[in-house]
Amino acid sequence: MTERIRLTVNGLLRDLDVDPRRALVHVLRDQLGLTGTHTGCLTGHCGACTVRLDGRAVKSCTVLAVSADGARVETIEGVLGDSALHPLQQAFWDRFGFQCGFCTPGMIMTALELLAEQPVPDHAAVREALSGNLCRCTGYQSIVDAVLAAAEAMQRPPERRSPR
Amino acid sequence: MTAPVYHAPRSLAEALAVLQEFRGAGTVLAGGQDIVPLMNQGRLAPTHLVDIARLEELRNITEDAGLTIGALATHADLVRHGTIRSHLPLLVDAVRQMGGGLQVRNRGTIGGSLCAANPAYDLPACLLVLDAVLVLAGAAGVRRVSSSAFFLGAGRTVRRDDELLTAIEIPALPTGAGSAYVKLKFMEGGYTIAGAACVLVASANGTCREARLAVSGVSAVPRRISAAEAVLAGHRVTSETLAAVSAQIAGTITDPIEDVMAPADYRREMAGVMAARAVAEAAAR
Repeated sequence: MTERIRLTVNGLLRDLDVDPRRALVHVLRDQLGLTGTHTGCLTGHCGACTVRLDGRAVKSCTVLAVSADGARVETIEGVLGDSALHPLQQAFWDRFGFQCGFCTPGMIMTALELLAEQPVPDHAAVREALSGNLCRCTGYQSIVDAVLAAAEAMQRPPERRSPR
Repeated sequence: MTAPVYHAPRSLAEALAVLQEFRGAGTVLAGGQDIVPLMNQGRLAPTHLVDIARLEELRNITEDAGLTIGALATHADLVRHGTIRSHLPLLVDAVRQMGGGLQVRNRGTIGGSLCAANPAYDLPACLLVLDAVLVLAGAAGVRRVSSSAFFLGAGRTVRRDDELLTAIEIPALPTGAGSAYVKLKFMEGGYTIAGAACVLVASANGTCREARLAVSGVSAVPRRISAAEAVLAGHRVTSETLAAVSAQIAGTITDPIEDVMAPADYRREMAGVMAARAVAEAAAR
């Protein structure tokens, strides 16, 4: 038996029939083809499946799709602008914030919430915010550096958009 | 395994009616931080899933003489709340030391965390030292249960399967009270090895007028350790009294948990150490 739900995923309305047992991460990946959200542990530990649900970072393996009915969902696919990388993505690139890249979408979705709440975080705040995201390449130092660099970049006025 | 029947009641009365109808077969879903991982792993297969997340009436944190926390308030709601930050810092300590990061704080509810009755969770010991009362609603009416009587064992509480935990009532602390929660874990996302919650009420002369101490992670049920509280009452917090508290705690716990993370004796000793740290921290606040 399935349940009909409606989600707004990266700005697009989606009507879906979902098995009430299925976690949101599976519906995003298998029914919507949004495979940037990764399935890691499926136990709420690793954070690779982090998305934003009504603006808040959640682990989408711990949310049943059926209970997200009516919600706004933002995945890593929705973070990319028209062409340029988001400053967080650019900073992960510039600062070697990933090795295998498996944890990166979750790291970025979590860091987005941190920077929305605290635009100029210190080192300790970044570490605390990312404490629910595991990196098995042990690249934490460069991940923290990347988030701090992104925070700094996001404080500067965007040069490309100047009217000249 | 067949899919569960999904229920999304829109009011408390409707939720209680569903639980009553499917008594024994209804699994309450709130933030899902315990239940959904169990379902993913095939360790839990509900037949009726009662999703109470839409009961907005259970989400509020309200202030009167004390504080009433709706069962659906999230851990993030707790640490954002002005009065909790200023008057109940032990709750902020507990949330900040939880595993799982921002995401679990955002989604996990206070009621879910308590009803899970996981010995490794941090809030139960905090509620014990706050003398909190848990409000349970059932088809037959509402009953109030002391936090010291709520937990029966690992994964077991006095909540009947046709009842919902709707709120947690926290009486105002006496003037001059400081509080803290301190715990030991081996990695950021790891579970509690031993934790201790403390409320200290200071007298004008600098001695403890009242001390409340509870430990978590050490036994199946969180508990107040009155023998250690008695060590502090009427005395100043010094290195000698802290050592006596540690010894008293370690000596009182007779049934420490032993598992892959830590042996029983280590947990018992660490409970004493965490208690001394919690007392020192509460005294400094």
